[in-house]
Amino acid sequence: MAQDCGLVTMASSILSIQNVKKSFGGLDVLKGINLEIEEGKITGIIGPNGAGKSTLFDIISGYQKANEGKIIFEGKDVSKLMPHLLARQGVIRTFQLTRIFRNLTVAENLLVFASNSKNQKGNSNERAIELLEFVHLSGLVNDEASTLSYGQSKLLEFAQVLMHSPKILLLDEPFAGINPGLIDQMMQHLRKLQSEGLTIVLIEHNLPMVAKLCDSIAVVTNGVIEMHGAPDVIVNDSRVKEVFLGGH
Amino acid sequence: MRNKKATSEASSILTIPGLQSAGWPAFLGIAVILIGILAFPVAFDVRFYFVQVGILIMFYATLGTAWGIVGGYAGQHSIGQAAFVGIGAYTSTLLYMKLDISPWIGLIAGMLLSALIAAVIGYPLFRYGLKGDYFALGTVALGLIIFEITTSFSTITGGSQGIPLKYEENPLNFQFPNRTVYYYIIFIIWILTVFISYKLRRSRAGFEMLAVRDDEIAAARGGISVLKAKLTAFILAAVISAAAGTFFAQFILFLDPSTVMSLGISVQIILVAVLGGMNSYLGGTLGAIILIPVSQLLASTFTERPGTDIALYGVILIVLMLFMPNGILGLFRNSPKWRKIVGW
Amino acid sequence: MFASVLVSGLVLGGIYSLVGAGLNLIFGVVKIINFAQGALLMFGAYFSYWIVTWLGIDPYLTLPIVAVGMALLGYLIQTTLINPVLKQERTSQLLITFGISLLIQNGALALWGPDIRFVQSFAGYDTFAFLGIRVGVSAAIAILGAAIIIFLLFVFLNKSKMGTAIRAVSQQSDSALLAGIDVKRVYAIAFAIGSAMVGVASVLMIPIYDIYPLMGEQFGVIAFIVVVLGGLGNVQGAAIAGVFLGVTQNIFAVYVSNQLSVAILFLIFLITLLFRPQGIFIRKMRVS
Repeated sequence: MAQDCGLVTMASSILSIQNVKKSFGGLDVLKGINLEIEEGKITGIIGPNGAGKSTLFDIISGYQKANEGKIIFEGKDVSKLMPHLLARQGVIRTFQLTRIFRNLTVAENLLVFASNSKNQKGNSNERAIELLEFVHLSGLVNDEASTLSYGQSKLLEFAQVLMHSPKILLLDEPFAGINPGLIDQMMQHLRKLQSEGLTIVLIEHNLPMVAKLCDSIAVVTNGVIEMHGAPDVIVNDSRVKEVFLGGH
Repeated sequence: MRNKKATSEASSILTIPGLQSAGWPAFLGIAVILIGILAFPVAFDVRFYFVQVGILIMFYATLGTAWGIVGGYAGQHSIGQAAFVGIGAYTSTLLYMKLDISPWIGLIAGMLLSALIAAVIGYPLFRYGLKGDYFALGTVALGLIIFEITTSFSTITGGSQGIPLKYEENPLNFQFPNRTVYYYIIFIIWILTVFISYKLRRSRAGFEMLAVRDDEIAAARGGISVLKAKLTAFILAAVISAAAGTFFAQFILFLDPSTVMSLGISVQIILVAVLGGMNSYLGGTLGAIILIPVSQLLASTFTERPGTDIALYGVILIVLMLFMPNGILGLFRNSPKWRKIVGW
Repeated sequence: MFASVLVSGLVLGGIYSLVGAGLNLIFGVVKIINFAQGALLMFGAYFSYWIVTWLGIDPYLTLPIVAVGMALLGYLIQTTLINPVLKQERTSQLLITFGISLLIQNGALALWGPDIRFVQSFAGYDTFAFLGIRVGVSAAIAILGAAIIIFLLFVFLNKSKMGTAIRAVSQQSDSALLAGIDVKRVYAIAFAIGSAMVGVASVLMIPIYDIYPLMGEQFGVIAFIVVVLGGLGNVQGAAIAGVFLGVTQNIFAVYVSNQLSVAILFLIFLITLLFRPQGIFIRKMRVS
């Protein structure tokens, strides 16, 4: 049922979600999701709470198995792969509720991610320094991660996933709980990563922010992709306005 | 300029825990301690009783350190660890008594069998997502099954009557006229175990275990195989425990289920690790140094009231968990320098 | 022959059901594995034994005192030892209940010695004929008693206000907190009820079984099997699983090997853990 809103052709799709269905105890959360993620683009996924966005992420990253449908990554069917194998292929995600290793130090948190990627590039030490400087955690390298604030934890997670040199980055509400000054920097950083060829998919509630950052936006409601198109088209759609901007 | 700064910083950022951060005083200290331990039975005119206590300390230090790998590093609380001590002890003893195979070969056989059993039990337990508590339950069951089976098949194992080991003075039979030799054998097993634990903490595999302990889901996201990390830890701990078991049977020359694989032994192992600090490669050793002399004292004080010592262990365990869940070495975790030295 | 094996299997099964249902309640609500369940059973048995010895009353009459006493003990354990560590890692909770178990079990051994004790109820060794089978009166009381208590627990959980609160907390403690439920208090009450069930079980069993410090060990572990087989938080499931295990164990003991009859239960346990983990919890995220 997805409506194509004047997008360019999908010749260079890196990730293809084909008719993915998922139900929990009789409740259909995803009712047949079809979505092509273009290589090197930033795709935003929006939709009301409970629409199935995070479940979709869980399925793409292997944490849950779809009842039906396929996930094709770089031309290969990865629907049945376990999360760690997908991670090694370069599919890396963040979680809505930050997940870091609380009993390890900040440095160790990055170290864990340093060498498990097949597409590791450059010196991991330098990369770690750069990333820690970027997220303003350089002064806390030897502190236990459990002592970090929520925002800092979130930034550490962000640094972690970048440490991994992903091919496709799935960000689940990356900006929630981060101070506004840093959000701009993170957005710039994401654009820079994009210019280096990284594909990014992000779930976000803040529509203007998504519109500013993304190349295309997919709207998920009731377990299907309602629309998928260029940001200006989506933002100006009457139904989207009603759902997302009506209350604000 | 900036580049240079970055490089030096880089090396400091990504250093992993280790003794080199303590510098030469640490190495000097270690050397002195090790020489002291080695010289203890011969240099001083000590009664053999104290040598025996030393042997027990190193025996439990070995088991506690091994438990720290699976319980501390990987966060999987094996509550039936004594089962593996028993497997090691019974494998070498039965091979020796029934087939006349040297316990040295039996030692290897016991380690292999332990690895096999740990893998066969551990794989499905971990594979089907049995986290933390459920794994603990599974190991309790494993410990009890092996205990019951050993007791029941009395025609082979001697059942609860036990089996005395035949004594033939021969180093090839793991039997020595001078009983002090056992002190040095357990010293080697202990120091190797601590070394393995130390190296593991600094290695990729060790990091993966710690990551899995903290958050399995995030570990998988980092490309870590959760199954592999847990299984490696479980098997490694089982193998070391089995080696210690063979040693113990040869040392006391008598074997029955309650001496090597009762729940009480499993408890003692956990307590040693928890008291010292199970996340550190030194935790098991520190715990044993404190707990074993105390337990010797308790056992000899309360001979008329058996159970008092274990009841007190229960109290110690509860108090530790309420007020010092990370053990003694856990107190060092907030100092970056000490944290590295104790390998938290 | 088979009929009497079945009856004693049902008695054992009834005890398993009670201990297991109590454990299941604690497990489902507080989300901790109570390693002390077996030790509490033993403690309940001694509790009843000492009342009988001092007051000279029938063991069955100690039921209310033991049940209330055990409930208080359970409440105390939860509030003083477990509630303070709820925020800590789960290791702490697990090892604390383990420590409680060691303390109670070996404390009993130290205080009262390893001697086997027993009590005599009014029923003695009386039997009656039921459908052509000779059934012991105390066995019948145990079976009926267990069934009634399980039924009452079921009614309590489903009909009473506190029961609803317990079920709410067991499903989602976060939202329960939002709904104004004092979660820690509910935890303590769940632990109290779980312990009281154990107390009832101990009173029902002592006219038939010997009393000694290690008597609870087997029951404590088998309670876990009951939980696993019956399904998390499922009271009827626990009852059925308990009966199944008791009967199986008795049949195996009589017809195959008495010594291995306990080992066979542990084997069932391991197999269940391995092949039916969904019986104990719903796996949300797969990682391995």
